[in-house]
Amino acid sequence: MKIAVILRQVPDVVEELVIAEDGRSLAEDEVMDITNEADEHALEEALILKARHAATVTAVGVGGNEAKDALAAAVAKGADDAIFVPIPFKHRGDNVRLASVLSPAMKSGGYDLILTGIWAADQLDAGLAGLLSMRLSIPYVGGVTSISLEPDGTKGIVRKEFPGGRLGVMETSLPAVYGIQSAEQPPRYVPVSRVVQAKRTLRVKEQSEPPEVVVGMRAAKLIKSSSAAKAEMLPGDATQVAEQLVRILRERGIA
Amino acid sequence: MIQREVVVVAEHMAGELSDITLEMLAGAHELARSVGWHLTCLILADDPKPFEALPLAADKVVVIKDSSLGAPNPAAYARVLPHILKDLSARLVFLGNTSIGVDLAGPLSYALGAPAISGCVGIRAEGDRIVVTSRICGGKLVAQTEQGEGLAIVLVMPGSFHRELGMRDEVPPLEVRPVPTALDSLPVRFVELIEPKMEAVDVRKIPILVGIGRGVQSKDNLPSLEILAKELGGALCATRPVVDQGWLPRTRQVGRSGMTVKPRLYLALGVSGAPEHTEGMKESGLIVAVNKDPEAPIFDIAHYGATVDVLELVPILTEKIKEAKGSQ
Amino acid sequence: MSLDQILLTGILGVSTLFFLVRVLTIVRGVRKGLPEKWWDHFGVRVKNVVLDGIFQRKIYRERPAGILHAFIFWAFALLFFSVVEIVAAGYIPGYTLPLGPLNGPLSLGQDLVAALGIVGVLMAVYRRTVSKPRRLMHEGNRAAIVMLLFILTILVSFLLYNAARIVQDAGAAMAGWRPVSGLLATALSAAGWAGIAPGLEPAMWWVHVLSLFTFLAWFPYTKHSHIVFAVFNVFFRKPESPGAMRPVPPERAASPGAGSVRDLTWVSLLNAFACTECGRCTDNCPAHESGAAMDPMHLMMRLRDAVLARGGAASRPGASAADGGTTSEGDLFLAVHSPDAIWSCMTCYACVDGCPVFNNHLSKILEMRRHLTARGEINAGLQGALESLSRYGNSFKATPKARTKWTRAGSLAIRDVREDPVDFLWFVGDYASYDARCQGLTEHTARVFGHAGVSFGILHEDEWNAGNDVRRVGEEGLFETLRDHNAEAMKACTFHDIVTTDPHTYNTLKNEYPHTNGGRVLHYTELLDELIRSGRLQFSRRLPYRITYHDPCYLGRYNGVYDAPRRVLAALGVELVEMPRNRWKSFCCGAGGGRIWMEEIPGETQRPADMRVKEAAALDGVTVLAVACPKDYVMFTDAVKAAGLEGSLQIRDIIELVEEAL
Repeated sequence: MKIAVILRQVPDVVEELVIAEDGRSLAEDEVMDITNEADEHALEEALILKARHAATVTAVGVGGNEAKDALAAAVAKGADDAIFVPIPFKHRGDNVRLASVLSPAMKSGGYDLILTGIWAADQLDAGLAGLLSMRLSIPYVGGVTSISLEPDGTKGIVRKEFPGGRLGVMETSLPAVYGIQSAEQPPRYVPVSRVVQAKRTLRVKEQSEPPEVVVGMRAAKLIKSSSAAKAEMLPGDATQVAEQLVRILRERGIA
Repeated sequence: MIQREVVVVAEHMAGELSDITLEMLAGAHELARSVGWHLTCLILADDPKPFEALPLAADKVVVIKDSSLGAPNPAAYARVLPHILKDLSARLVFLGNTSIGVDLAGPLSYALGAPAISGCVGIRAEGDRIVVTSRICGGKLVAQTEQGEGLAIVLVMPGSFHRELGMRDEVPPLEVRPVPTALDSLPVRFVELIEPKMEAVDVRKIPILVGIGRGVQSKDNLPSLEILAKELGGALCATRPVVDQGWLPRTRQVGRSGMTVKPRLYLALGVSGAPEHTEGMKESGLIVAVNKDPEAPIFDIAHYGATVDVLELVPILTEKIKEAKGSQ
Repeated sequence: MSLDQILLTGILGVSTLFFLVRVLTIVRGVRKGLPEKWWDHFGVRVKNVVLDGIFQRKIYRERPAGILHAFIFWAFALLFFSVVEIVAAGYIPGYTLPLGPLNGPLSLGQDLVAALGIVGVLMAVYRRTVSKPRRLMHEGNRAAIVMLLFILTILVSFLLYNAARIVQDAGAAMAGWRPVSGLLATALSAAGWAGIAPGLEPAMWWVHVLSLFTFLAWFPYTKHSHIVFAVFNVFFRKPESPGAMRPVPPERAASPGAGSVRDLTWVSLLNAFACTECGRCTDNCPAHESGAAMDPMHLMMRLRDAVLARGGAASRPGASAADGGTTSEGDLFLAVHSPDAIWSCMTCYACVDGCPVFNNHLSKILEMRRHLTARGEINAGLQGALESLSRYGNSFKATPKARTKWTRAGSLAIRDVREDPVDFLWFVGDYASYDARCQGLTEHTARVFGHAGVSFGILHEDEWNAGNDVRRVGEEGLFETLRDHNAEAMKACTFHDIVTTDPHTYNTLKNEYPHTNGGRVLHYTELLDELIRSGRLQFSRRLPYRITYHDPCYLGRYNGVYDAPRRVLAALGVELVEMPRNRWKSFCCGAGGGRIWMEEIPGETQRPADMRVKEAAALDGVTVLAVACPKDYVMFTDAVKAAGLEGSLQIRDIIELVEEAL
């Protein structure tokens, strides 16, 4: 059984985000990349399946050079192969384009299961998983929180989160694409020494972009949300504060 | 003005329209009104009866009825929707940015050859152009996208529009249609829906939390706080010292060695904002903090704050919320 | 040979056999361990043996215990010669050692130590049965009391034997040199029992021989094996500073740390047989006292069993730690201490510091942590902290740029040591830089330094977490990354000495970092002490407070800095009331060993910080608990709130008091 996991590099929001001069993207040299959190869960789920079903896991690192560090960490955790897919900075976050870049390799790879996070921190368009499934003409379920596979590798049964804490149990044939919400257990810890070791011995297959690539949309304007360093203080006594609070809550549709 | 078609794809569970549907209708209605477009509320269900007499803020309600649409199977929706949307000549399609809508965005976008814009918190039309405001990167960035002509799909974040504006005083005409294509041999088979077990409160799943810290001073003040939480439609959670005192069970503890929560509203009362606590709630949608100390670190991460006496505020706030809900 | 002699030979033979079998079994068990160098720092090792092995300085921390143990110890030491003589007398009647004129003084010595030894034994029995100090009550009393009675029998029979000999022939029995036995002889005669002497002599001889050789055969099977192994244990203990951990040997890099008995060094395993089950370690252990499963004394005792076990429950094939990996014999996590217990340790060093035979419980815990961390089996809170440290160089999941946020407060002008040469490189530390409660203290420190004219600079964002606690949770790889980065950054700077406000940072910079420029590493209290003594720092007022002071673990026990902070406090004019548990007995706040990052440890009923503030608050008239570590400040501030002591006890860092007195 072959499982592919797509790990995307997204801007790290712990660092300060700086808008580029064109006012519609981030400044490339100020951005620090981090692996998309939902993709970390996808990798964890893949490794759990690998332990259960003796599968092989191919980690696909998407983004800039930091993706190679993410691949080393993935291999240190137990992934068997690593593929690096460089994406020019200005096209990151464009899942439509990414789906068209990845689909030839995903098709030819012969994977039984393709996992990725249900959403990416920098995404503006539809999720990668759904778009990829359409290009590959294979079933897709998103928001998955657990996967079990038939021993003969023909069917997958997933649990998907619905609003209100409900869980939907669904079955698909394989191969399929699942968009992971969270793995069955939190992403495991891998000691730094193991990652350092993996970095040293890492063999990565680099995949260049296919000739036919579809471009999705871009933002027309990008601004930092007005998060003042401190809270907006509500003046007045308890009654006045209560009135203002209720007004704010109603504006937000909360009360 | 060319009249275009706006379609809101409704989300519903157990015969009831979800809040997000009403919020989407509110936003779509306002936009449609502003440029004279037509708004249809599209419901895929196995039974139209629960939706028959609803005073929704739409020009028309279309229910696609089929027994296979009883379960929320994303594959069924993905097969049916492209046809319907084409039939309706939709120009703008609203989906919820929820676990249901997110599943549909990709397949619909691909099938219709239309862009899907996620994270939408605001939308307006300028002539024939749609301008969408979205929040990305953990809410730290606001992106504006513009879409000229052609079909566009928008995924609306919960809490972006006012639910009550999705209703109005008349009931729009309702039309029932059959499914446009066969719903057999879907790539995804819906097996079952598991209802959540009603066990002890899981603060991680509650959208509105009232967090209490030592500033509430005594366990005796808990009952009035419980009432406030209930009025808000949420539950109480607490910082570690409060739990250590035994005022609330450990499952209510939020912070480094407790739960991490991301509710839509976190009302922090008497919470100083020590990092061990704020770590567990700083990503909440809206943080309102009340603390006597204006230097309390909680104000660094709160959106709104006040330094009035918590114990004085609570009963007054509870009353005002009751009033506000009563007037709806 | 007479029947008696045959019997004697038999007793000697059987006893020696039992003794040797046991000692050899222990040696064989200990040799399962990994190699460890033991011939370096030879002079230091010999000195240790003399001061701590023979004169046993540490036992004197508790005066009565020190005295009674010395009495019993010297009784054993000197009576060794009498054993030779007495046994030989069984074959050659009237045998005396060919020591010539030394025989007299030797007999005197033996007589006296035998008497003192009896006093010692009686003191010991009193402690176990009447005064009952808590630490002795961790293990049952029965075996200990039986042993004490054996020793008593040996000593009493020795004296009575000589008394009987004196009654019969004072001269031959060297009565002049045996005052105590002589006294007994006189008493016997005075009581009119002189007639029993001919029968008493052989009877006491047999009692002595039997009790002695039964003792000899039995003792290595009990905690009294320390009689043989303690001195060796003292010799082999690591000579370097307590604050310096040993790196993972390159050959163990693939699977670092200890999961089984065979992963510990033989010196480490030897500890188990030097352990006297005295309970000082467990008694002072904050993790144990808070209710966690950690128990240093039982860790040693179970290790002892695990070393000797073969094919027992501890080495069930297939039994394993959490991940189902293969187990070599003696799985430490099953047989000795569970992972929860191992994670509950705060690395406060009270166990090692308290141990009179210089056992190192902590090094085993740290090796076991290395093993767990290598497999990712870490406490959940720890994972977040380690990932944040790895990515951002701090445990707060904050951008490196925010490290210098505190410098932008008010009118502080902090120099950049990367650009300007300074006297002191101030290594600020994570908590001092990032924790909102500590940032105020850091500002105070900068102002005091400025006021005293100290030339200092900081590394700004090039400073990463120093790595002390990272290393102590077993993440050696991450520690090396942090250390190498910091060392590189410092190498490029021009400065004389390093100063820091954080004892954890102090410990690792002083003991575990490469020293490139030969300068000193100082804690800020040491620097203040120097400034006060040289007159460069003067105070305009005396503070009228009645305060107590908490000795930080990494400043006090690890690095011996107890007096500098106290001199600073004295210079401030405060009235210092010592905590009941002060200096080397200081009770840890609970933040160390990565505990401040971890989630709840199961079993914890009371937090160490809460216990400590209550201890401070119970001191009459004391309103301030002074601290010298940012983590102490944070832990105690929270504890005061949790314990409801806000009105009665203030937590203040020494730097705050210093600034107030300027």
